[in-house]
Amino acid sequence: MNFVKMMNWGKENTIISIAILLLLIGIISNIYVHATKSITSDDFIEIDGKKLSVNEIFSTYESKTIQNTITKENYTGVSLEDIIKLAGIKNPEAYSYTIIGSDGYRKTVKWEDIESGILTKSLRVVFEDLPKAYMVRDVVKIEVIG
Amino acid sequence: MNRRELAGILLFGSVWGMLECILGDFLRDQNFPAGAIMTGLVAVAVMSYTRIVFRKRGMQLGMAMIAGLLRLTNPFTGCLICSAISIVSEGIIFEAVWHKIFDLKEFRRPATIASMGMITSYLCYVGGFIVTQVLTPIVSLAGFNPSDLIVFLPQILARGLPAGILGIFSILAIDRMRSYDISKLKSRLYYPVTVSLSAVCWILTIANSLLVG
Repeated sequence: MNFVKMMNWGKENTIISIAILLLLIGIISNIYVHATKSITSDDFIEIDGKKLSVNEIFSTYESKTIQNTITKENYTGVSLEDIIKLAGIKNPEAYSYTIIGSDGYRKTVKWEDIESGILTKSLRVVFEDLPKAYMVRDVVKIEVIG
Repeated sequence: MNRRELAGILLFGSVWGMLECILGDFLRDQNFPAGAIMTGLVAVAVMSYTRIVFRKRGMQLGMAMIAGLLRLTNPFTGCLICSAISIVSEGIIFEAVWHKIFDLKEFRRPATIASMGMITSYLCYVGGFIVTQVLTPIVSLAGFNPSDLIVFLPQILARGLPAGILGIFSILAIDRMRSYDISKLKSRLYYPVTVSLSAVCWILTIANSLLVG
């Protein structure tokens, strides 16, 4: 027996109520996201509490080109390993790193991934062996995870 | 699942996959909210249309698998595992939401139909996003970090809003298009049309990849 054919107004009201609830969740989430959005600058990237100038990063180190093994696309930028070392992280291989974009999107990667990763001029991180979901855009912060 | 439904899965899965590869990539390049648009307008429209005209449970998951396969195996853009996982997740979520629903005619009020669009689209988008964030690190052996997802959850819930709203328009349009019922075509026309259109979708996707890069 088809359930929907047995639907009465009450069940239709339930569907409408669920839709309104989801609508409210979406609206409240948008308000929350905008209210908690931190002001960031395109000029600096914060690494473990230390602010590094983007200009300094790109003027200090030469860019290199890597190919992502999954998308097969080539990307050019400064080695993430160099940037981490520039931030003065001691024993960098002992940590994991959470890369955070200006929209709050974040991905945590291991040191081995950092070694094969780059930061492009558009401030996007790219790794040789990780999928696109790891290519955080508009990077504003890198947290060092013990 | 009979031959007619299988041909429908192939056709609509290919159309969906082609639009994901061509329109989705174009929207992403133009910095439009591609995920919300593709879910709200394309995925919900294709899945709800086929559910209404074929009235068959499981077809939409099959279509999602074809679309995901086209996204995943497109030899000229490389493996896009995140998109493929997301598309298949949308198919699973659609099947769950529409488990006992076969036709929007069963609803008396347009508000209920619009609500189905909101619910389907919002849950497909948010669910697809979350599943992708969990499965992609696992499949790619990078290791899943739950805190990455938890901290970003409000953003995901917020981004689902435009997808949900687009889903309302999408489903209302589909409800008005029910008279264009491809499943009623005679067999001598139906099979050549579905197979050739599916082939066109795959060829266009590959040609687009070669031309656009």
